[in-house]
Amino acid sequence: MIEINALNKTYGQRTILKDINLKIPKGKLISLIGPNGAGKSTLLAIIARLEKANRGTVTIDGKEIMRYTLTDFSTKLGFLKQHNNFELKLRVTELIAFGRFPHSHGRLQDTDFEIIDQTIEQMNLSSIRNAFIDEISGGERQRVFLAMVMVQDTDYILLDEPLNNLDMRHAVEIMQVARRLVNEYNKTVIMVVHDINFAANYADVIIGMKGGEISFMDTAHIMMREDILQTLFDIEFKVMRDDTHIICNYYNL
Amino acid sequence: MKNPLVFLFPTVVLLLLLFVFFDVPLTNMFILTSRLQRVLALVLISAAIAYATLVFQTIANNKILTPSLMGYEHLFVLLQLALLILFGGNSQFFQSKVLSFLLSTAVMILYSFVLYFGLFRSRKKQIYYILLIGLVLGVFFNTSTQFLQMTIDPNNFAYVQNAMFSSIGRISLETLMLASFLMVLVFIYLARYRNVLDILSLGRSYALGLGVEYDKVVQKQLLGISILVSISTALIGPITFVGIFVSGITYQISKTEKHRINLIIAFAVCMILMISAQFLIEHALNYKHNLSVLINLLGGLYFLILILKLLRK
Repeated sequence: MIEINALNKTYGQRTILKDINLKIPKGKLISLIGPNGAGKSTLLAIIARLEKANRGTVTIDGKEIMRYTLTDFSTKLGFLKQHNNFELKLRVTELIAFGRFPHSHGRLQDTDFEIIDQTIEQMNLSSIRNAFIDEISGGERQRVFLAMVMVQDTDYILLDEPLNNLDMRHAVEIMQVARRLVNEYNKTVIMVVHDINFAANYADVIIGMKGGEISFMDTAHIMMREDILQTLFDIEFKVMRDDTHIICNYYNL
Repeated sequence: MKNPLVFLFPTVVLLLLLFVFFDVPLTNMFILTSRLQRVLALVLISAAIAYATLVFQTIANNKILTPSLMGYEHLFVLLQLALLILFGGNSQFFQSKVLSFLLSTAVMILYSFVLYFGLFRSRKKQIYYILLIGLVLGVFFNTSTQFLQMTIDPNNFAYVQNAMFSSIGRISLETLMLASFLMVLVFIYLARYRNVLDILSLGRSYALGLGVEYDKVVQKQLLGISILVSISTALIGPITFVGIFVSGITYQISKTEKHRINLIIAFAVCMILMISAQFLIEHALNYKHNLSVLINLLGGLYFLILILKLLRK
C-alpha cells in the first residue's frame, strides 16, 4: 500500500500539489485522471523519488520512501516516463535488458535472460527484438519501454501517460498488459490516463485530480458519474452504461 | 563490419611497429628508446582523450560537446604564461619539465575541484548551465592570455608558444612516468563504475529508477574526466578538435552504445590518428610542425564536415 500524508509541492510561487492525503491499495490498477496541470505527473514523480516534496511523506508498504536504499527502491517500484526519445544506437533487447540492472548489477545471468525473453514474447516484440529503438514505430517503442519496466519486476509500476500518441489498437494492448500485470502477477499499476474511457473500462480505482488536489477517489463504477466528471473537467459529459461497459461521451454535447 | 576492432587493432599494431622500427638499425638503442617513449606518451594521451570525451558526451547527452569546452586547454596556456611572467624564462619552472608539469597538473586538478564543488555537486544545476559556464571561462582564459601576451618581450613569447604547442618529443621520462602513474590511479578509481556507464546514457530518471546513484556517479566521472584532460593537455597542449574527431569516427563505425566496446574503439582511433600524424612529422615533414598543429588541422576539418552535415539535415 502507498500512503501519502499531507504532501505539498511548490515551484517558486506556484503550488503544484496542495496537501495531498491518499491511500493507494495494493494489487489494483489505478488510474489518475484530471485536466492538464492538475499535478498528476508531479505526484507520480514524487512517489518515484524523482522529485522531492516540500512537505509531507510518502510511505510504501509501511516504510517512508526515502528510507529505502536506492537499490531496494529500484526493486520495489518501476517508473515509465512520459516522453521516451533517445538518439541512441540501442537495440530493443539491450534496452529491455537495462531493466534487469537492479537485480543483475550489470552482470546478466541465465535467469535474467529468461525473464527478458519471456517479456519480449509477452509484449509481442519478438519480430523487432534486434531492431534499433530509433527505427521502430511510436507504439512499438512504448511497448519496449514498458517491457523494460516490466523486467524490473517491481511490486509497484508507475506509468505516466503510457497511451500518449498511440493508436487505438496499441492503446488497448497497453491497457491489456496493465490489466494482466495486476491480475496475473499481482502488481500494483498506477497510471496517468487522459482517455477517460480507458480509465473507466480498465481501472479498478480512479483518482480524480484538479488544481493540485484530490477531487475524488473511488471505484470506476462510482466515479463515472456525469456530475463528478463535469466538476473535474469543466465540460459536459454524458455517461452511457450497460452491464459490463461504461462509455463517456464528451465530444459534442 | 561486424566488429570494427578486427581491423582497428591490427592497424594500431602495424602503425606502432612502423613507427618504432622505421629506418633505424635494431642496434640503435638510443633512437629506439626515444621512439618508445613517444609511443608511451601517445598511448597515455589517447587513453585520456578517449575516456574523457566519450563519457563526457554520455553525461552531456550530446555527441558534439567535448571537455575542451570546459576551458581546460585555455587555462593551461594561461597558466604557462602566468608562470613565465612570475618566474621568468630562465627559472626552475622552465628548466625542469617535471616541475612545470606537476605545477600545471596540480593547478588544473584544483580547477577541476573548483568546477566540481562549485558546479557539478549542486543538484539543481543542469548540464547545459555547466557547459555555458565552461565556455565563458574558456573565453575568459583565452582573452586573458592574449592580454598578457601583449605585455611580454619576444624572447619570452617563444616560451609561451612552446607551451601552447608542446611537442611530445620534448616530454622527459620522469614526466611520462608521473603521468602514467597518475592515469593508472584515475582509471582504477573510475573502474568501479564501469558497469553503470551504459545506464547513464538513459538519463537521470531512468538511471535512478534502475538503482543507479546518478548524481553521485556523474560527479565522480566528471572529476575523473577533469584530471584526465589535465594530464593530456599538460602532455601535448591544447588539441581542441581531437575529441570531436575521435568520438565522431567512433560512433560512425561502432554499432553499439556499450562503453566497454566504444572506449576501446575510440582509443584505437585516437592512436591511429596520433601515430600517423607523428610519423608524418618525423619522416615527411622533418619535425617542422608540431603534432598538435597537424592533428588540430585534421580534427578541425572533420569538425567543419560534421557541422556541415548537421546543417544539411
